[in-house]
Amino acid sequence: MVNAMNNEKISALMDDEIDGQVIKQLQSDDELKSTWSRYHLIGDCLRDSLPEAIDLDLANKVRLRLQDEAVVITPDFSRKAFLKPVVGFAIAASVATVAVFGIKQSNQSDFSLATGQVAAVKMTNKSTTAQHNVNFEFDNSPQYRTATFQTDTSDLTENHRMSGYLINHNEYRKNGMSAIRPYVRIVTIESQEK
Amino acid sequence: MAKKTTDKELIERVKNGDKTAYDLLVIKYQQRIVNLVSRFVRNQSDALDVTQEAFIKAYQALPKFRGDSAFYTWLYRIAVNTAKNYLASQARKPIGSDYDVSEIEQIAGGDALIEQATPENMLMKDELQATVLKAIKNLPDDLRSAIELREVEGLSYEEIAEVMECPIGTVRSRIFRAREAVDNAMLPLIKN
Repeated sequence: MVNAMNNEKISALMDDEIDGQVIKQLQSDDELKSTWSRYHLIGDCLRDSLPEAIDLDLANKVRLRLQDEAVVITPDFSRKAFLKPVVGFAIAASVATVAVFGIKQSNQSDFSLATGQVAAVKMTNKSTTAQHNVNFEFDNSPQYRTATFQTDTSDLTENHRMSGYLINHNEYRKNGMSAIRPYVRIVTIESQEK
Repeated sequence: MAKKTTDKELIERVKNGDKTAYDLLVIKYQQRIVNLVSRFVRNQSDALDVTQEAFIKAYQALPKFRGDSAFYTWLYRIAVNTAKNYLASQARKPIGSDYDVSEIEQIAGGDALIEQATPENMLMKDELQATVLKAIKNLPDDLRSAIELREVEGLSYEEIAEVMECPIGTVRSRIFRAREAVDNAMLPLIKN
């Protein structure tokens, strides 16, 4: 009775119609293993896929040869697949943090620009000035817009701040919003000593 | 219905270091692979050796198997490549004293002289087929239809239940009873 029950499970297992719990039992029970072998032989016979020479001992020969082989242990790919988005998220979070701190630093500079609405900026500062033409390209506008401002040429840090601001601004605006195209030269400076 | 196929479950176990699970895969596919290899390697004794080699290679390559295709499809390719490599290695052998008659027939393609199988093996196959087919013929209609739909047509239990208009549990039971009946008829032959 128990045998019949187990054989019915083996029958369902070979048809992929039962979960793998019975496999452990099958592996440890030679009688069940023989049943597994004979049931498959019936299937091969019905499908006419039997070879001319039927070696019923073939599996044993393979088993003996495999005794010398190293045990196969493979890393779980599903765990790797789980880690992938986590690592991706960590990298994205790091980039976002750097971007936020970068913007904070640029906000500490003397000037500020209204984000998204920069069309023209005019600045006048101190005695020695230079005119700077700043070209912007926005995704939603095919035309270049020019911001003209005057600033102190002796204070080169101002230029660096401006460049830093534009780069940070560009990174910040990439996040789902229209952005300055990275392949366009974004700043040109023409110095005109007055 | 099981969520994971039995092959996948067995492969997972092998990949986790359980060698005995591979044994079940070998038992399952051995006859089909011998049959396949025999199409390339006519000498039956060599075909059995090549089949063993193919199963060993498959075991060694199993860490690379990602399950994108069915295990049998993957094993099929390995077996065909192993058989082709065997034939190539035979063709590369210089004509010399270490050739026996069957090898020369193999390389020369002398089909008429090729040993197809030993008489005992032929008998075994013929007898086995006759026994199984007779046992199937003697089954009640519902059991015969159920096992044929499963083994020959490859239908799932759900599909068979639909065709036979009965519950899945009944299909499972019918297929099992059919296998048991055929197995009982086949068992004395195999034991002998």
